[in-house]
Amino acid sequence: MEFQTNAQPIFMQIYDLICDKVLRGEIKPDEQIPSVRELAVELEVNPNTIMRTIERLLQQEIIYSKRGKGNFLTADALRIITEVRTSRLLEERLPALAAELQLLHYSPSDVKARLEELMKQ
Amino acid sequence: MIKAHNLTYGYIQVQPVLKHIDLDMPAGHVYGLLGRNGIGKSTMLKVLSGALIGQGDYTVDGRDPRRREVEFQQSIRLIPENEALYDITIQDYARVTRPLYPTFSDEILRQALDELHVPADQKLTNMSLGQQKKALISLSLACNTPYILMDEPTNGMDIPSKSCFRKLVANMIDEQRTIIISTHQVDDLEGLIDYVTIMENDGIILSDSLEAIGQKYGTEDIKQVFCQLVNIE
Repeated sequence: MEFQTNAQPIFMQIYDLICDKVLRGEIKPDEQIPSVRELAVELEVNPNTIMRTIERLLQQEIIYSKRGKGNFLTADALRIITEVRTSRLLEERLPALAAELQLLHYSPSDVKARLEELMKQ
Repeated sequence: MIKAHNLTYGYIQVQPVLKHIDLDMPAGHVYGLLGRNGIGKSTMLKVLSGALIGQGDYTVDGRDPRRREVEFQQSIRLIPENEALYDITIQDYARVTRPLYPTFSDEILRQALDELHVPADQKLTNMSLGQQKKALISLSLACNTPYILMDEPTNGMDIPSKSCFRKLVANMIDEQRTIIISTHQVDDLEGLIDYVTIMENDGIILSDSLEAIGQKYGTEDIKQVFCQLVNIE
């Protein structure tokens, strides 16, 4: 896949990719995540880049590693990711959106209907 | 590990392309070699692979490429941007290449030709430019050497082939292998690279891991860092 440039580093884009899967329920607690090599080939990136993602996930206790076996999702993964993503939404995404709306002279009620429509899909 | 100290090379003596290059490339990484046109990227790859004879001290795994020892030749494969073509099939090409490299992998060759959709039994001279390129890259990857130097490998490839190429290379990266890719197509190869080496008129102006670059420049966006350093408007 091609990664966006001018955005987050690639290892963080992959971190988000994995967290999205957990949020969607596609990976369950104690389920093994693909190996570094599998992820590297699938995503067409350097295994060292995947290692940086894995280190981040380990450090945040989203995954745990079993020696010689691989990496597995922790029981708390969903809760941890939800917390991290919620704070990102409230502290980064929403303020940025608010600034953009203000710039374009929108009021919150102007976008409410559209937002509801989008979230129904 | 590739090391160079005071490496100089000129096609004409009075006007060297490579001037007093110092370089230190630990093994186990994929280096993106970047720089403007004509700055000497291709020349550098040729010198390191022993195809051109430079001046100064430079070694690959402690071996001087100029001595062209068998062990050195077996450890390195240069994939030039344009390669001389023989009027033979890639199958036959493999037959004469295989004995030269103890690491040669028929598995990699088969997989590469398969995934890049290159017929093994068609003469190279009867192929389109893109097919030729993919055939020769497949053969070179199959040599499976610990050092692989590639000059603009994705040039002339269609989009699906680029993706296959990245998968093939991603699968070959390990701690023992060193890959240098010179390119202008940063977007094509950004994910494969974990070290960036930038050449300018006065030599190597940057050679560091993406992680270190991110800390130093506040972004890991290679293009942005490149433009900042090379001063392109």
